[in-house]
Amino acid sequence: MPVLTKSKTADRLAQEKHFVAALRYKLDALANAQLKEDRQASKILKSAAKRVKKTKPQSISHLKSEIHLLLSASNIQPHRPRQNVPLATREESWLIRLDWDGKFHQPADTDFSEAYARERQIYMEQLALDDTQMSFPLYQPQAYELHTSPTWLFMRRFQNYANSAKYICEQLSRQNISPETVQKMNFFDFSNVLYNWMKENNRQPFESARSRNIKMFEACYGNEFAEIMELLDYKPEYISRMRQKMRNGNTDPMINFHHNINVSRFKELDEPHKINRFSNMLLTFVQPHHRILHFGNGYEAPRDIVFFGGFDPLYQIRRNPERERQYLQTQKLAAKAIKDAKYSR
Amino acid sequence: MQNTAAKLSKLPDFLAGHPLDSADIILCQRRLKLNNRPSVPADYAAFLHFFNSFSYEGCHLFGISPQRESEFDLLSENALINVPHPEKQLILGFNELDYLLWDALAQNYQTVDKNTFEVLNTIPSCETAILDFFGIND
Repeated sequence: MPVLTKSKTADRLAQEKHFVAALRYKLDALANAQLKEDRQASKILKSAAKRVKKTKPQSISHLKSEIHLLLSASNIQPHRPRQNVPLATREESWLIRLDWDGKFHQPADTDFSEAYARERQIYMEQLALDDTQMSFPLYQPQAYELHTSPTWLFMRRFQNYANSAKYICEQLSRQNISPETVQKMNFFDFSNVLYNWMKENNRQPFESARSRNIKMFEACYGNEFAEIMELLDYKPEYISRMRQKMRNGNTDPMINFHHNINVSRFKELDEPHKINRFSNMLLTFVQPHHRILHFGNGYEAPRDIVFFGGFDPLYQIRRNPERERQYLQTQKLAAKAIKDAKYSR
Repeated sequence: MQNTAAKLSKLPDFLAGHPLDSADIILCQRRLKLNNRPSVPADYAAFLHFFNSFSYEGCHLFGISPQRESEFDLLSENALINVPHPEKQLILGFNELDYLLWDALAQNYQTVDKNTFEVLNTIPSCETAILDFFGIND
C-alpha cells in the first residue's frame, strides 16, 4: 500500500465518499424516476410523506448512462457473458448453493427421483415406529458404489461432497436404500441424504465454501484489509471485531462475497466445479458496491481485485497468488496431519 | 411471527433497521399499488414491525425506509431490480446468490436466482421462507 501524507489520505477519502454519495444519489434518483409519485399522499399522511427522499426528476435513460459512466471511470465494466454457454440447471444451482453456504433447503417431493422417493417413504414411515420395531440395516455402507451414479461423478468434483462420501454411504445404509438405487439418484436425493445425516448426527457434514473463503481472506489479506478499513475511518475496535469474525468463518452484515462468474453461468469457467473457490471471489461492501455489480445486466470489477472496498484503487486489494498458494498448501498439510493423527490413535 | 422474530434475534451480530412507522407502510403500499406492483403481504408487513430490514451473514431482508437510512428500502430496491413480472413479483430480500420474492399470483414465497430469476424453491408460509432464507432449520 502506498505511503501517503495525512492530508493526501484525507483528500482521497473525501473524494471516495463524494463518489459513493453521487452513485447512491443516482441510484435513488433512478428508483424514483421509475416510480409514479403518490400526489395524494401528503394530504392523507403528511408526516410520512415529508420523510420520502426527494431527488431531482431526470430521465431514466440519462440516469442509467450517468451510472454507467461513473462505473466505467472506476474501471468497473459491464459483464460480457461468453456466448453459447448453457446456463446452470436447477439441480446444478442447488448443488452449488449447498456447497457455498452449507444451508439445507427442503426440496419439493416432486424433485426426488422416483426410485429414491419410494425408498425414502419407507424410511420416513420407519422413523415413526418405536425403537423395538426398527429394522436393522439391510446393506452395509461399503455396499454402495457411489461412482455408479452420474450425479455423484459431478458432485465429487466439489471438495465438500467428495469429503462427505463416507457420511452419504452411512446414511444410505441407515435409510435402507438399496445399492442399485444409487445410480438413479439425483442431487435432491443426495442432499436429502446429507440432510438426514446432519439431523441424525447433530452436526454439519462439511464446512461451507463461504466460511472457508472468509477464513482464507483473513489469513491472506487481513492486514491490508485492516489498513483499508482504517483509511475508511472505521474504529480500530470494530475492525478487530470484524477480523475475529472472519477468523471464525463469519462476515460482518455489511460485507458480502461476490462471485466474479455467477452461479447461473458457472460453465463459463474453464473448471466449472471451481465456481465457489476463492479464485472466483471478491469481498465487498453490500451497499452500494455489491449492489452496483448487479446493476442492469451485471458489472465486473477487474479480476485481480480480491477486496473491493472503494472505487479508488487505494481501497482495493490486489490478489497475491503466491500468498494464496502458500495458504492452501499449509491448509492441506494441516488437514493431512489431523487425518494421520486420527488413524494413529 | 413472534417465534420467527425470536429465532432471528438469537443470531449473533445481526443488523436491523430503525423501527417502522405505520404511516410509512401505508405510504409504501399506496405507492406499490399506484405503480401496479403487488402489495407487501400481510405476514411480511407483520415481520416489519419486529425488524424493519434485517441483515445477517450475507442475507438481507428489505424494510421500509423512505429516507433510505438503511439502504434496504423495499420500494426503491424493487424499482431498481428488473423482475420479469413486476405486476406479480415483489422482491423482499437477497443473499449473495438469490432473491427472496413474493409471488402475489401464486400466493407463495420463492427463492430465485439473481441473474436468471429461475425459481429454486417455493415456500407457502412467510415464517418458513424467512427461516429457510437464513438457514435456520427446525
